[in-house]
Amino acid sequence: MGYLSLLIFLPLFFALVIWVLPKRFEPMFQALSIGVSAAQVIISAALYYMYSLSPEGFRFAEHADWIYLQLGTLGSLDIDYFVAVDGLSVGLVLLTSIVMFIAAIASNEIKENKRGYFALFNLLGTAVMGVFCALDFFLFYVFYELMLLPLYFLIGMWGGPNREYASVKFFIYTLFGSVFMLLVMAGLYFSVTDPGTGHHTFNMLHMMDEANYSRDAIFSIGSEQAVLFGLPARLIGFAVLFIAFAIKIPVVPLHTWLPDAHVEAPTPISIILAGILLKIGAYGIIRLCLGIFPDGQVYFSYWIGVIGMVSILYGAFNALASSDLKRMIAFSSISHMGFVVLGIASLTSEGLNGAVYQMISHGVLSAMLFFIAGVLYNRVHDRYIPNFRGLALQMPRYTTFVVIAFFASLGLPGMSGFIGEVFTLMGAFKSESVNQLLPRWFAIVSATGILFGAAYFLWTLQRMFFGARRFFGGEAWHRALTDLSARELFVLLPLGLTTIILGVYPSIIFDVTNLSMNTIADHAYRSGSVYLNMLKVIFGL
Amino acid sequence: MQAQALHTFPLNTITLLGLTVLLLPLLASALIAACAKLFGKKSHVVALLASIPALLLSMFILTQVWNSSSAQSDIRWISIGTVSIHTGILIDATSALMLVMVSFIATLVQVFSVYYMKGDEGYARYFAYLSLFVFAMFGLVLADNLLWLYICWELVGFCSYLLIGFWRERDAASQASKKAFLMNRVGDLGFLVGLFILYSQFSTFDLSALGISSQAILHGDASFLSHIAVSDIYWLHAAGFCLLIGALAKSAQFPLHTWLPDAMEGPTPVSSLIHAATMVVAGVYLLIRMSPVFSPEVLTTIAFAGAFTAFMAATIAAVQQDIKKVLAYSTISQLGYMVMAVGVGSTAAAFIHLLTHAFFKCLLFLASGVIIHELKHYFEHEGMHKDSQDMRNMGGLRKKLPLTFYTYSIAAAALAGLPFFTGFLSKDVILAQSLYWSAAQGEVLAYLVPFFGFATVLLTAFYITRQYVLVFFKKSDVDFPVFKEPVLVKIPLVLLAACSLFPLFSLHPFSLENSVLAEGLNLDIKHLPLVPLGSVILLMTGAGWAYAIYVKGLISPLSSGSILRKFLYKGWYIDELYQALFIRPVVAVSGWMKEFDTKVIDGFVNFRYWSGVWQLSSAGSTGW
Repeated sequence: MGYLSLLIFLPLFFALVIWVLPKRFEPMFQALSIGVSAAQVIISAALYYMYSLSPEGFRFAEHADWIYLQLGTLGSLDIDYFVAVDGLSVGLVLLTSIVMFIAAIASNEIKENKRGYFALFNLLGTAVMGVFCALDFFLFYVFYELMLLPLYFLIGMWGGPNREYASVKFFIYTLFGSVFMLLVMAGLYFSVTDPGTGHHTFNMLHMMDEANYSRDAIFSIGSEQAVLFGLPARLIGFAVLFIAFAIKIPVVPLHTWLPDAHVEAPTPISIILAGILLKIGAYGIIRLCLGIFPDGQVYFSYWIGVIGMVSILYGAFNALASSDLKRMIAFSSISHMGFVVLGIASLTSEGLNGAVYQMISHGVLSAMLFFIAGVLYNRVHDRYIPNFRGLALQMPRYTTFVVIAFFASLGLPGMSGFIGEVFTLMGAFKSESVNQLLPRWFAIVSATGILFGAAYFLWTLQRMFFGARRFFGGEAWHRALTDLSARELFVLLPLGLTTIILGVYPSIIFDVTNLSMNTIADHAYRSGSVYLNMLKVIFGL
Repeated sequence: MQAQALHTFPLNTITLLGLTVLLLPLLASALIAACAKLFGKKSHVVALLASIPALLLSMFILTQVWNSSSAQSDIRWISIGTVSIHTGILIDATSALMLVMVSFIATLVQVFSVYYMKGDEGYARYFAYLSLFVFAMFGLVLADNLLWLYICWELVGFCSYLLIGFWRERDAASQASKKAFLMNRVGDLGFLVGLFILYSQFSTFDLSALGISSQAILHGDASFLSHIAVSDIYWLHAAGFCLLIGALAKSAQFPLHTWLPDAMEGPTPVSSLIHAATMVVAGVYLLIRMSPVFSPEVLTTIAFAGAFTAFMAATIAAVQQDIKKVLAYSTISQLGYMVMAVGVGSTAAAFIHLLTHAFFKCLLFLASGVIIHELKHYFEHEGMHKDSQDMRNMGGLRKKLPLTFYTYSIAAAALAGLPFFTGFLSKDVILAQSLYWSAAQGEVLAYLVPFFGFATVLLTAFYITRQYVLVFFKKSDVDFPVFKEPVLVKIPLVLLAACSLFPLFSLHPFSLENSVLAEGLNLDIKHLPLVPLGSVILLMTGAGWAYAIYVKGLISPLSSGSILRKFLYKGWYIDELYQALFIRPVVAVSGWMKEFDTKVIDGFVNFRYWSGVWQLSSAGSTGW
């Protein structure tokens, strides 16, 4: 068993263990889950380090036949177990294990049915790890769908008062995207053959190479038959995949599941949602949309740039108007993920490297932000911003970390948010002189997002933390609002240090991502332009 | 290029020393923050143990690089695509002088703070913030590339945010800190876009490389790496304007100046260090550093922005009642002179005024700090509810705080530009330069710049005389006792007063010509004997006018109740204008967006959802 399989299936194994252990072991379930995720952190950190020694291509690959079915006249179904990581995914794998670790520690607010909770929690751990490692589209899809089930229950059973609405909404939104993804996957399967075996294949890497496409299939490149409803099938394929992942990111206007899910979800699930789940959307776009349908990316880049820009500003304005702390953070996530979308749309080295950096940075910061919201909620079961005033005097140590998290999020240099925002914006700005995909004013308008970002974070700081002490709950809250416990400090301190270290020395990430992202950007732009020209000739676009 | 043999130390040693200077205050800040309980009331010792060696090292560095070439070392910071971004330290005469000025003033302010902040709950926190600021400011001065200059630029803004809002329980303080940060963010946005333009065209952030490439383009010898649709010059103009926006915000110039008067909510030593002597001059420093990038059109804009700000701020300073507000507007006005000097093409004059102003304005703030501090304690002790910053509650302090009075007199004379004081030397170079510049422009409109410059001389003399009279001479309603200035106050005041006298800058009391400073900075002095004469006459007129009103009690257009006075007192209503033009619309738009989000987008989603549920349930009830 390779490193990656160990990383993926370790939580699944312990999910089963938790499920079968007798009830008297219940107090140990959390410790067990923390242990599992700590082991994952160690393994993935080791992987990251090993990868950084020669950061090129896919490494740590494991390849095995999984399912082989004869389907009569339709041919055969040939699914492989194929996992590996490159500069894009290795950082996200590390991020995933760190966020799971934090979430496991934050899980002590769960009081009911711990067996169910921690079993599902670990199941989720397997699913998200698998998504980032899978290079077989079918395997990817299995992990992708597998995330849905535990999340649905984790929000629906352990969430806030309105949890059922939120979980159903989340479920339907995601399902809506993934049903269509299934169709695209099937279409791709029958368009691509493995040059080694001659069979159709789900191997993503084969899907990225034009030599493997048969001439007359639905997603063939430069074929007149590749038509769907009178439109080029490859562009539709791109759009469908993009929408599926865009729901996950989420981009405006496909975002309304996110604030509800965050507000209702328990703290650890919010941390996972913002820290990992949103990244899966962006990861899917870079890996699958850019990799398999580069022509679609080049064709739609302008509009994807618009979506990114709108998300940045729309998220920021809504965050400004939010009076629930968690809702404010949820909208800030939408705004920050907009930078990722903008960076991807630019198809420049700066933009794509910046996008991956921003994903990792936002993963760390959103985990920190939701943990911070949880600290307050656990004490007084309230998150309404106007109900608090002068918290700095009441909880000075807590305030220090809030200031760090807020300023890192609003892009203060020296911390990670700044680098992510600057390089995605720089990519967007440079695009006009490199590949003419995005006009320069996109970057300039998007940059105002960092002004509004500062506005909502500073306004929240001023309203909740500064000024004279005054709490809605009066004397009871005065007693309840104690400063950080050792456990909370143990979570926040490493997160705070991480954002500073990444901000001061961003090469920790860039040196790992650079070669992979350059290859992806280069491939997407060059092949994309060539394929698109073929489409233009055929369809007269 | 001068010979490098002039160095007695190899270049990398110089930059290594620079790095040490940079890291010392960071170390101090981290130590104080980490062991706040341990150091407690002794936190200032840690801060001073960093800043005094930093001062000595900076002086040593200055002696090494003066009159010789610059020293630069860098490391690779980020590689992206095929571009490597380097960062490092650049030490030349300008940055070394800045380093000495900043560390000198920082040290004095820290000494003064021991007196001013004594007994404050957040004593350790205060010194941790202050040291962090010094680190960021050193970084800004030493950065050899525009990206790191930007990084430190925002960091000094962050420290300023922390220190303005230092008294966290005060609402006004937290609002002022927010305003300062956001207004600076507007400028940062401009700076950032300027960075994007320069990076996408030159693929480097190195200061000297940017300057050389830009000059080549301005002279038509070169072109950008890539040019789309419009000419190179167009984008170079754009980059220049963007950087200018950044500088306007940081140096509190019109139209981005309104944060500085509010920033006076911070402790007075902070106002003196950050909001008078160091951080606010960062904008001018940027303009000086980037002057090769600016095209003539941008330079003209800079000149007008500076000249107008100098004039406008001086008119507002003339009617303020708060002792610190007068000084804040005075700072804006003096920064206007520096910006104007860059605009008219004399970066050396701008830099010298930056230095002279740093000393006398720091002194003015510290002296007013003594007054505020002593009066506050006195009022509290006597149970009087009086504002210790309002000049109407002062008066007759000449005999009560003698040393403060004498040093204040020197600083006020330097600010007004009296001969034998430093302000006279630097201001006259700027004024003469602006006259030459407007003559060279050949347009009548260009004479507005020197006009504003000379008008400001008159106004400056007016407002500082007014303050001087109100604070020290006017008969007070309260019979103050004689206060005692402790030695911690005396040292900084006396040292700064010495730095406000002419010999520090030039041995010749009336001219910078042939002075060490002018030669080191390549200041090109053009003689115009009428300028000093004219400015002294204007100065006397202004001072006399103030004397007539505030001592002799003559009626003036500025007497209470007049519309002009109200207009000036309110700062030309610019805050109110921004409130109506920007803040309220943004809040309104965010409210609409929230409505749109919940009603329209989510309304659509929920409609589909509920109608689906309804269809299912109705299907169930009809027996499906």
